[in-house]
Amino acid sequence: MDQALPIADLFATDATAEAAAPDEARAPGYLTTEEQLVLAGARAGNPRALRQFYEAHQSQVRGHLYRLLGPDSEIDDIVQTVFARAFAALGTFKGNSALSTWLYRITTNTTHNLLRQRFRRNRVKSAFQWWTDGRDAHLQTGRVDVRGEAERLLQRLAPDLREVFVFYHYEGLTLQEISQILDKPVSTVGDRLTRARKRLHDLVNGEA
Amino acid sequence: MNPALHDDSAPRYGCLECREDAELVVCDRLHSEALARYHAHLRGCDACRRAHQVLAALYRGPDPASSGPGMVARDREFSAILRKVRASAPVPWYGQNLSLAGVAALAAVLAWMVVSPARGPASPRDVGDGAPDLLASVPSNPPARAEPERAAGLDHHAQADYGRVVAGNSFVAEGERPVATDTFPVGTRFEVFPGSSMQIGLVGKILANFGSGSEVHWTRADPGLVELDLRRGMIAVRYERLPADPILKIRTPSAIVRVVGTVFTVEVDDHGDTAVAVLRGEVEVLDPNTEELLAEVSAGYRFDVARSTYADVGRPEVGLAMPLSDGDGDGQFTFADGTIPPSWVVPGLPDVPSLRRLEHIVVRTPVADDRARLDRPHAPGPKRGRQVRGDDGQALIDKLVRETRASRREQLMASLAHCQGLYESPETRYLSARCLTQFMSEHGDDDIAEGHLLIGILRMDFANDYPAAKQAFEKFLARAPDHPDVELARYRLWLASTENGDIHEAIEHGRDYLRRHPDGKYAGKILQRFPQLVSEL
Repeated sequence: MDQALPIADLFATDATAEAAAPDEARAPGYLTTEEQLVLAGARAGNPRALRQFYEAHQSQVRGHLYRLLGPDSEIDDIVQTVFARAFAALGTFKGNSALSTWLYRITTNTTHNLLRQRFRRNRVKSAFQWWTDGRDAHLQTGRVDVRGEAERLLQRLAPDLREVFVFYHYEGLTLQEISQILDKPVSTVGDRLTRARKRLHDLVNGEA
Repeated sequence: MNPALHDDSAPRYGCLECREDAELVVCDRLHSEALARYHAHLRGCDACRRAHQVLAALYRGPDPASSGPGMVARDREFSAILRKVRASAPVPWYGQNLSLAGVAALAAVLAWMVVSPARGPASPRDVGDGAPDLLASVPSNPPARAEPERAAGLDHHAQADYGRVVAGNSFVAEGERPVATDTFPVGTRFEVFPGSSMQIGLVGKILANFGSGSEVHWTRADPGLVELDLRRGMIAVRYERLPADPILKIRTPSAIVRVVGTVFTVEVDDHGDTAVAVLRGEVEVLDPNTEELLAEVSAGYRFDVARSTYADVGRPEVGLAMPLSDGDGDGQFTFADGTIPPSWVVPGLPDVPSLRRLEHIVVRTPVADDRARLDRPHAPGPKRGRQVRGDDGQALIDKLVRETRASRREQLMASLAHCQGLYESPETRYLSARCLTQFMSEHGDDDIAEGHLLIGILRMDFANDYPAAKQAFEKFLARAPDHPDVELARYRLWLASTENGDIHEAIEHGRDYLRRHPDGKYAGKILQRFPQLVSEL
């Protein structure tokens, strides 16, 4: 009963072509037969296939955003944006990676600027707090919720470092997979991970 | 006493060493001896303990968010995503330049008129004559993108406020007033005869099969919500919902079943207990009083509300839903042939089409205190209403058989009689579309053109395939313009346009029908939905 929606013709020209990986060698076998069927239907604009695609991946995208941003009222809006971009860019997906990797990349492209804006804003805010409350006051009260404290410290990590830390420690991805998502060499990813850990160590110990 | 702390030969282990080892500890990479010193230090140092807790929380990550949005919230989100995709569609170059090109063309026409004094004052006719060459290259409208053939949403009361009896018979009444035709409005009540069933179409989008002894009220239909009230019995529903279409709710004495597009059954037993089985998609079961979510039922499961238990979908549920299988072919309008569609999840049933038959579903073993099944006879209440049958097609197929028999075609009668047999029963009528299509493709000619009309009726009734139905009606009208049943074909053409939401087309077809058949059998039904057409009579 489903009819083709008129979005198939949008796929090829969307601005999120950056989300695809055109220069990667084709490596078949990333997609299961079922995923290939859903993808083919979704590319043709079949609403049922698009819905299946969304249902299969919405919890991954939403969960990653939650781990990256913490509890945030904007997560639902960002999920919509990520899937709107993904639907529009389905025609450019060449199957060079798993669908989840490709969606992680779109999510990262969508959230990167937001993370940078918030990081700059938070840096000013935390500097003001340091000036008013004393440098380590928030670590010494002993009553501050540990989970909340960890989230606050994670927000103080620079966006590039935070993305790598979240992918590696929370999503359980390998350096190779993160390298594919961020389109950076593995050495760069490894370096960012080391810096992220060092920075968090310093933040926890009040040395930052 | 911890020897590591009091052994003078042991290396000193203070806050500095502890902080350096913290990351190794939370990553579980520190050897046991150092780990013992680490924890011994933590026991005596609040600051390091606190730092350890924070670092461990950091590496552990946030607690998982709640189970995520519910099905209805996800449905809204999905609709919003589709809207965003459409909104971000790139405007084609001719669309971007349309306004500019239009102004330029108009200016050119005016300039041409002004610099042509020899022609005298330009009349509108002149402009009309000269304009086409200039305007021909400019599209008057940006080319419309191909819209779905089935319109989403309920934008017109002619579509939203009515349902139709497709097959079967029962007592049908609107409040205390019997419904006189097979078309019924919101507020209609159905009481299906024991041992029988009835298929109905609602708002042109929902196909339902009411099982034996069911009592159902259609209580609401508006652009956002269609609501049925199931008092007793079992119903199967197929709803191919597009994003702008209303949500369907089925109320029972002990639950509300909320649906955004799926194939499922709802059953209410003699005790008022509810069971929901899903064959495709997912439904939400809510508390009838608080509307809090009780369960999400996925395809392949049957949820018993009273016991809060899940079981596999069984043969009774699939059997009741089988008349809804016509056209359920994952986007392709396949003909039902008694095979359970591949998109329906029935545990234990293989993917091989030949084995996906009702008889291959394992019969559920009833437990000792199992609730009353549907086939248990219930005390019939007083019937208030009128027996209604969807009988347009029945008369038609009888006529088709008569004509075939009378006109030298005995050899065809065997296959046609089989189709007639399938059509006669509400339980098997959905299978006759395939049979008739095959018959017409092999033997169809102008003498038996009513086969096309019949196929069109079946396509729209059981598959909601309105484009195919309209094509069949038009074929019939073209092949047999003087046939006695052209009135029915014109009415069905109007009905298909109306139920598909093609309102302008429906008004045109309605006008055409009333002009040709001012005293026609279906004039009242057309005027019921489009009172503005009274002036056509």
